[in-house]
Amino acid sequence: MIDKGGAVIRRSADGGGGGGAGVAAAAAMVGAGAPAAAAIPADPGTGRIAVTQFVKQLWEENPTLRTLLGMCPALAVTATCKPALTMGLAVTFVVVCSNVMISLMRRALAPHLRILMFTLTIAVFVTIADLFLRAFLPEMSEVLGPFVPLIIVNCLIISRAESCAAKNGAFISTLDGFGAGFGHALALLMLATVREILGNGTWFDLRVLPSWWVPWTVMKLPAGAFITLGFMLGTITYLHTRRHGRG
Amino acid sequence: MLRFLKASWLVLASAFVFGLLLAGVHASWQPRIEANEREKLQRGIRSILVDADSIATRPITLATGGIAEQTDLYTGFDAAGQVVGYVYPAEGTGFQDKIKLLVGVDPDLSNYRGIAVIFAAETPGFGDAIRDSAIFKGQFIGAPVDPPLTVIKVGDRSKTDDEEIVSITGATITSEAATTIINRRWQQVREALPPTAQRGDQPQH
Amino acid sequence: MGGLTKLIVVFLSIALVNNLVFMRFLGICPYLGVSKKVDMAFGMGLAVTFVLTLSATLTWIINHLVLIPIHLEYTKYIAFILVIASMVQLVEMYLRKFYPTLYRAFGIFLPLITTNCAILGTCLFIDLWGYNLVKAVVAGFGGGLGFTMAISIMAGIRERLELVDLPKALAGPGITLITAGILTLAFMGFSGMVK
Repeated sequence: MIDKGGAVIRRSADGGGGGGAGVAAAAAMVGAGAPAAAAIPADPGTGRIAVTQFVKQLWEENPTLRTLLGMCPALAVTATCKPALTMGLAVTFVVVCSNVMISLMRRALAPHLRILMFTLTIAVFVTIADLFLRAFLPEMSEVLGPFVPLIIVNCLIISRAESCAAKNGAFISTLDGFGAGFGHALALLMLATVREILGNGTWFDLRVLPSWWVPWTVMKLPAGAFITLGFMLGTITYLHTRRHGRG
Repeated sequence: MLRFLKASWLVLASAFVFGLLLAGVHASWQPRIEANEREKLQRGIRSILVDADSIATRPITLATGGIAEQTDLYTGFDAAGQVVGYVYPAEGTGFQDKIKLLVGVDPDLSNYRGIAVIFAAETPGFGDAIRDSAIFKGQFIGAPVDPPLTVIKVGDRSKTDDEEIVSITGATITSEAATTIINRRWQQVREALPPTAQRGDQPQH
Repeated sequence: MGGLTKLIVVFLSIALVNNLVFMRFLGICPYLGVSKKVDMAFGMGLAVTFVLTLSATLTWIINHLVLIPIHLEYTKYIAFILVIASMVQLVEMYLRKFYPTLYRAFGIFLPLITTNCAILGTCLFIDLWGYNLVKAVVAGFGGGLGFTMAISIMAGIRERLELVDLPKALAGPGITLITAGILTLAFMGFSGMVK
């Protein structure tokens, strides 16, 4: 039931490492003639489709862990859990708003304008999110730093806009957005939990490990981020293969 | 012209709508953002001049190797209107990123009153400790402005003079960077500070 | 410090000490999927260098000559990304018309680069660090070269990894990230080089 975009992603995932998804999604956008896949028929009930989308985005096709979208911030802000959660929520805000906007505009989108409109919409909502953080959560804004504006180029959001919002109604797009956003936040939190507990002995700033634990400082550094994410991806892929036989 | 409009009406319309949206959001939240910045600065200043009742801000010009640099000087006054100290910003390169500090000196310009870290993104667990380590920062309270401070490592020998700063274990470079920033800034600022005889600053009410 | 020394410092700082890939986490996403071979990685790196140098210049100019004077700094992100996207588009059209071989060599990389976090990220960092125009150009160029070096090294290692027995689950992005992590540890040796 998932549209062509999803199918493309899955096929490339078999091919050469899930990262191909990023390329495939981009390539699909770039090829100006990307045919608008058949819109999901409204018959099965918009509500059910929406919920299915939500759940799918949350785990099955979790954007960050399965299709490897949205990783730049994942590594940078997950040293501790609070910034990770803040970033996850910020991304959710942007992806939901942008999905809704784009879904409302979808009939007026000429092919050559698509990417421009996606980018513009996303940039506007990211700016709003950034202003919000700077006004109401200044400490978080400082910690997240330049990675808030980088949400604009977060492949995840553009991919959702392309695969779902441009083809479906507002309600479906909203739930898809929440699913993707929460899925992404979930992935960030998983990564941050490992890094914070091992690297700091705390979880959400609450001390979890006893004081004799010598923190693994490498976890707070970029190196630890890469390595942890690498192992996490390996674990998830393994679990997925076991469950489904083949990626 | 018409063809152009037909092709791009959506972009133009959204640009207009988004523009309004952004302008509105910005206008309503910008005051808060600015207030946050000011508050952060004030907190830093007050952490150094703990006995100050009020703070006055005045721009000063430093002659830095022939190039004039504008910065702000913060003067702290106690309830009686007496100067309790001066605070000025200083920044430079740390181990991994910039370090931005506020440095305080006492009214007769002979000792530092302390430092506050505004921005530092050093190695977590090591250099980053300059932000929170009361022990490290405490060394600057009462340290003499002349001669320039030097850094020694833990275990080199015991600290003999007040002008020696013991570095944070495993973060020698960050500690040295911070000290260099403080020393360098003092040389730049000293001429712009008022001599003991004339204190032209007035407390702001 | 002489002017040239300062520029060399800027260059080394962004190419090595603050390497875009290893220390700043930028530019990973498209890379992970695309380049398993060194020459492809190198090609992409050069494309990024080209686009980044131009973007750094253009965004600096727009920021300082247009946005700041009219107090529209909060539209910075939108302006930057639109400039980058349009510039990539223009470059692509120009290359396709006048240098078709080069255009074919860049292949799919050129349009992909627009969403490359490294471009927007570096432009924003340049703004954060308050560089003047010359330093911004140098930073764009140096950042691109550092990026090229980083992904070429990784591609080289990945090529070797193909011949090795890996746990199936780790193949692909998993081992790539772990490799990146170890390389980051190595690159940390450059920290403190710039005083």
